[in-house]
Amino acid sequence: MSAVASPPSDAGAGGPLLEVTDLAVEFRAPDGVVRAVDGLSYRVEAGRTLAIVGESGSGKSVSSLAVLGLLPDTARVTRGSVRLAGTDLLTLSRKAHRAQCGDQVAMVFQDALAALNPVHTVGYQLTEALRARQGLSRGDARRRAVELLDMVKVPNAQARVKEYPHQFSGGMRQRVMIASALAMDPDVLIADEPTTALDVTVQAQVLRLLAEIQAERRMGLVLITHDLGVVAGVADDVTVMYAGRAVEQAPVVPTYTTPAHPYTRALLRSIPSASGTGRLPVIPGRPPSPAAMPSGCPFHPRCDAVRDVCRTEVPPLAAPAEGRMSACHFAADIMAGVEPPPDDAAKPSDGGERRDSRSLGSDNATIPTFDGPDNRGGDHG
Amino acid sequence: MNDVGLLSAAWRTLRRRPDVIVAALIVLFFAVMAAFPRLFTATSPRACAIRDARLDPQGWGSAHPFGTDALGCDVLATMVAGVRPSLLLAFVVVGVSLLIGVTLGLLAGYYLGWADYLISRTIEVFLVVPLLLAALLLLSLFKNVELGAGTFDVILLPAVVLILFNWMSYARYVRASVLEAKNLDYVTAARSLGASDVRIMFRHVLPNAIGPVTALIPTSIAAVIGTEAVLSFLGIGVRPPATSWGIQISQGSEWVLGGAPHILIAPLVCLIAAVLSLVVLGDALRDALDPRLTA
Amino acid sequence: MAEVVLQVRELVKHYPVRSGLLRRSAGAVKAVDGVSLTLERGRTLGLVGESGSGKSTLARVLVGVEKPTSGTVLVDGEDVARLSRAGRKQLRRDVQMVFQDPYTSLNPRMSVSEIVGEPFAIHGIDPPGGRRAAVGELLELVGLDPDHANRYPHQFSGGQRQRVGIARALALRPKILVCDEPVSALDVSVQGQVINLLEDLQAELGLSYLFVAHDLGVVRHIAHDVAVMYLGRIVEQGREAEVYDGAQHPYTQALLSAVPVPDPSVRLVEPSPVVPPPVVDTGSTSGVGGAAIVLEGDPPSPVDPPSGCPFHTRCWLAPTLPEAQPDPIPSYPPTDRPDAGLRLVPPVCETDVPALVHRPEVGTAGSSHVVACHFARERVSPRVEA
Repeated sequence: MSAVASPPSDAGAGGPLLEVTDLAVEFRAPDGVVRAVDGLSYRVEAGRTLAIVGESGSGKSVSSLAVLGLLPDTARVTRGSVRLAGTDLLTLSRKAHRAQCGDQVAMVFQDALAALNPVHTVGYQLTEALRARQGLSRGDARRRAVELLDMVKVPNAQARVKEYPHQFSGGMRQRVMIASALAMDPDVLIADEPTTALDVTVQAQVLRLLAEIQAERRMGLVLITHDLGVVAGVADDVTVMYAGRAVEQAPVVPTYTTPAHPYTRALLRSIPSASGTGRLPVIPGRPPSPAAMPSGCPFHPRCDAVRDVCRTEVPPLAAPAEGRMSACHFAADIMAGVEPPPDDAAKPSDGGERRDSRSLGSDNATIPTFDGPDNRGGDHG
Repeated sequence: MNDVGLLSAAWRTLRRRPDVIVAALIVLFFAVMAAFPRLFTATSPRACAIRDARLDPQGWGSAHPFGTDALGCDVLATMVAGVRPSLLLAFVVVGVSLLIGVTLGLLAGYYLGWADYLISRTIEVFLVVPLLLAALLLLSLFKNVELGAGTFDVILLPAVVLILFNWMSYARYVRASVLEAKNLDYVTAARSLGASDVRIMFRHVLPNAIGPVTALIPTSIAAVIGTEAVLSFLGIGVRPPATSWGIQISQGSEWVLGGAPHILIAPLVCLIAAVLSLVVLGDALRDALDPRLTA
Repeated sequence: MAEVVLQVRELVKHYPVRSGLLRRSAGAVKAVDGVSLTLERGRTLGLVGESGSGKSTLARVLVGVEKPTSGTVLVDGEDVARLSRAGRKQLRRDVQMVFQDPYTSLNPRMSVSEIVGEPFAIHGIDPPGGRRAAVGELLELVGLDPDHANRYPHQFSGGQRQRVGIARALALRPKILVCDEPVSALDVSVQGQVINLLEDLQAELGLSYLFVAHDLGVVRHIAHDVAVMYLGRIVEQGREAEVYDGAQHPYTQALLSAVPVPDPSVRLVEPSPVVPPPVVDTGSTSGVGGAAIVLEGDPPSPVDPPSGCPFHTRCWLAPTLPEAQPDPIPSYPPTDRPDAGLRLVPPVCETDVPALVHRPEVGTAGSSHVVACHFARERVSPRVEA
């Protein structure tokens, strides 16, 4: 069990800082619409860390862009609400949305080099926001910028505030990004793969920094990542996303010990360090492209516990137990560690694909294009 | 075996697009006009009578369907006569400078070191020397050389000048693209497989570096035609009695406000039509041959 | 079975830094600074390190893309530097590379069959049955449908592109595959497929792998032997179990301690609401369940490596040792060391480069476990488990 007691739960007082309900985001494509997020709900509470886990195409990054009002023009939020301190941000105009968000929700991106403007000094970028939003004078803003750099443990902050982004190493740049995100003293910090591009030892430093800052300020932290190790080491709650939906939501410890969704279970098994040195139990196939979703449960072509009902009916996100949510017809069975009851005529899974063998039927399919269905081995609908 | 597949796929895509068909027809039209000018007009462009100067267009079937110019020459006739030198000049200049520029850019970008140093300095020198100065120099060199009146002879002088001052931008673009492409993993992969430099340059680097250059070509052609007109003022343009659109345009622009705009319009319309068609064809061809954009 | 297929001795690769009008040499980037290793047939050597460690440069030198500044590389007993041009070309067939980025490792303008068939074209080989058949066989070998050979890379997913890259690397039947982070750019659920493929191929074809990666979990899974690199040198090497379970070098220990494992009972951070935990730079060598070792500062740049032991500027162990003495002249740039001013390290760490040797007095491992530290000691790591 956890070696550390969870923080005293006064999270109930005042409710969640950020509440996303049934969020759906669509992109306009040449041939129609592509649904990148299809009904995501989560809450962020003060002092707790929520990890959003998913692979490519899961919609995890798009959902946070929607929360901050940073979606590109080709995207549209088609339903859902994002409540920040009572106001539904999605009902506001784009400008008002960003203004409202500005000092309460901040975001840290993966690629600090791309997120920082190379032609301005770091100090300029930090003070720019401070002066624009809080109307600080130049001197005050400069002082605050140095304070912020100190807070994120950039050594020699006084001197480094005059330097340019390229003069910082990757880990330091990431700290600068965190500093600029903290400039407005936000209540919620969304970090999108903040350490993916960093070395392991630097990653440990940055994660520790985030945790310290969060604890000091009682911030809500949303950590978007694909690294299950980071989630286990840092997060309190986890939402697993697949194909634009949440397929499992629960606190971290029970999710890892008794996963309630076959995808989560398979992911945990497929991590190399966790499975010894034998053959890796892999998930066959690959995540579906939002343009070509399978019928029924989106995970069914790759699921090792698939049954007839999975092919036809989309499983709702339901609670197989107290505090657990799972979008699987057989969540209770999976959670208990038993296989779901077999269908009457025990069919092999789709298209004769052999799991865990080298020639994987559905893996042979090439990416479908909008011009028409490709010739595929599996049935991606 | 796969190039054929790509080409036939490209053909199929292209023949379905109406803009491509129209553009191709226009280019074909001009090509035929250049090859067989007599099909289009019986009048000789040199049959100029001053008393017939600046006649307005009289419509089809008459002696001067597009009117006459300031010297009394039939506009239609001069327009037709100008197709071959103009287009030939344009293609020769762009073709040769492309060849020179791409080769030098490729060598400079791929080998760097001394090759790059020399080539880059050469580019800079040519960029700095004014075109007209060089043209005058060349003119004085060729003052007493007798050139014939053949198709290529009439465009030789302007071609030389224009080639000398047109290759630099291609070289620069290609050099920049090569610098980028040469660090990509697939180039490293080819090298680790033991591929020769030549193979890497022509099979891996060049096809992926040539993109920006192809976009330059149609505008280059238009620029060549326009610059040739300037050269003709110095006597180093298309050698008379041959005529070119550039010359006609500059002549016609004098009379636009003087009551005879038709002198300008005919060659200008030709130029615009030719260049736009080439733009459409060039873009369509480039996209059709890019495997990433085909299905 | 202990047939040595690749041997590297004191390999050095320096990139000269030139400055000034006459481009005079003003120092060098010491990317690889004296590396020796051995790879046996049919086995995998994992090469672990962070940015600046030189592992990618080492990979490129071994594949022949870069020439070493000094040192010897022996492939199957033959000295690479002594070979003629033709001999070197022949050598390319024995050592091939699998690249990290599936999106830039394949020429987007070539079809998959052209890509996989290019090795044949380059070496003028006509395989029996024709090139087309050979390409088809290779595609099947890596689990792709040969009918898709005429398609272009952008039509394939990341995992499939990696397979194409592997097929290309296998075309000439190499003995050694240098894999440079082959799965880092792939989705988690696809990584396992490619790892399994590589393992199958190794068993089937008797390949030897030099597996360069920063993901310690993946390396643990696939490698038989592991070498840890820091700033152009190997700091620890041995059998996989020896290094992971009984690491002796403080850098390896810090690395292993920093790797997040998917076990929620082992927390990377301990968010105490009242007092943040102190950053461990004096080294808490307590065993199981102790605070993770967090190194200060960033991995140093190979342009200006520290004197003596390359790790001493970030070493958590050195300041705790009784031999540590005040360092009167802080001579390193601020980003390389903690901001606290003077840092205590034993003088030998600053002056002498530790040799990579077996330390029989430390741990119980066999003689294949070597470590480059003046004060090596074993620390049982609770983190990266089997």
